[in-house]
Amino acid sequence: MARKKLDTLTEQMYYVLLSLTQERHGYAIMQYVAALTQGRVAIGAGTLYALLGRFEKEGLICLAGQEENRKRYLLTQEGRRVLEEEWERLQRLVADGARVLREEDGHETS
Amino acid sequence: MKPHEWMLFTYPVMDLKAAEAALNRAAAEGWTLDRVFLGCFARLVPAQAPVVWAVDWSDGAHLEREDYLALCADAGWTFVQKVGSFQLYRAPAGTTPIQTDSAEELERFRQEELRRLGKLTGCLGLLWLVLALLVGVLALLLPAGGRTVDGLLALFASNTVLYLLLCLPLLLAGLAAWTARLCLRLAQWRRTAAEGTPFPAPGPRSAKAAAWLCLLFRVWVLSLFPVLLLDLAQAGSIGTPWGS
Repeated sequence: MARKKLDTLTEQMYYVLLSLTQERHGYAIMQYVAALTQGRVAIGAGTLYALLGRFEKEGLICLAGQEENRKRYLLTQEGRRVLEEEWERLQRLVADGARVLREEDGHETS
Repeated sequence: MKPHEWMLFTYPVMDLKAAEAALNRAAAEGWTLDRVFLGCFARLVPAQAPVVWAVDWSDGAHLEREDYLALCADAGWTFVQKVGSFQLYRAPAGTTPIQTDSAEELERFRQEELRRLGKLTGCLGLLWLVLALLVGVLALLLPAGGRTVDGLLALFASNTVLYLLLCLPLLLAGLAAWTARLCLRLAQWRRTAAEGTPFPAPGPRSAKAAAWLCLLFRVWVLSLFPVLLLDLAQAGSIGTPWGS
């Protein structure tokens, strides 16, 4: 279900915020995410437009400039805080998974 | 290859994925949409290059947002035509779809389309309520008679109101079917949004049946006009002899 409050981010949300640690316009965000994930994550224009609207409304990003109907956005302090919280959450997930899976590997080899 | 083919394009708003799938099936056979005429009939012409189609829904506000169109254009999507609630986009084959998050797509449908549909249903409901109230008032005042009763009887004796009342069972059945289909789609979309998978396309036969029913409804709406003109002519509002 779509989240009304951005407490946890979907993969696409995460990558959009990640791309806006630098000022970028919409299509540049799409290209950056595709390059960063080596094509694994593809964000559609309609989805990106909706996400940018939500992020701006929530105060996570701000409009940095506009040329010829192309708006550039940048992460706000609040947006960086949300992004870093999500990154730390993902780190914890990976660490917990690594512990469990390494334990299993340890039991299998012994 | 024939110079063109025709396809019925009266899909209801909840069947936009069926409309998209129909255009992409035609594209896979080497056809591309030229234009939709009268909001009903899609003319297909041979495609010069492989293309993919996307059908997006909107209350029209997106078309006024130049930045949205610019973003779609940058991403490879060319806006072709607005048909009712549908916006038709075309792109070279292999282009990333316009919508890639079913949860966001569902949220947008709820915010834009459902509100609009809710207002429309509310207006229709209000009209029928007014009609029912008039019937009730008539039933109450009928024994007493009078000019109000005569006026109401004249109204209900009109061809238009009689035609509407005669068609009421079919209209209610159609409304029930439409509402059931919308509820089914919303349930499917909620499920796919939770799973993170794309919205499913309805089966072609089911979608075609729904499209035919929508066409029949539009024909019925058109049929109201001659009935209304007949009432106006009988009331003397038109039909003055030429030259007098």
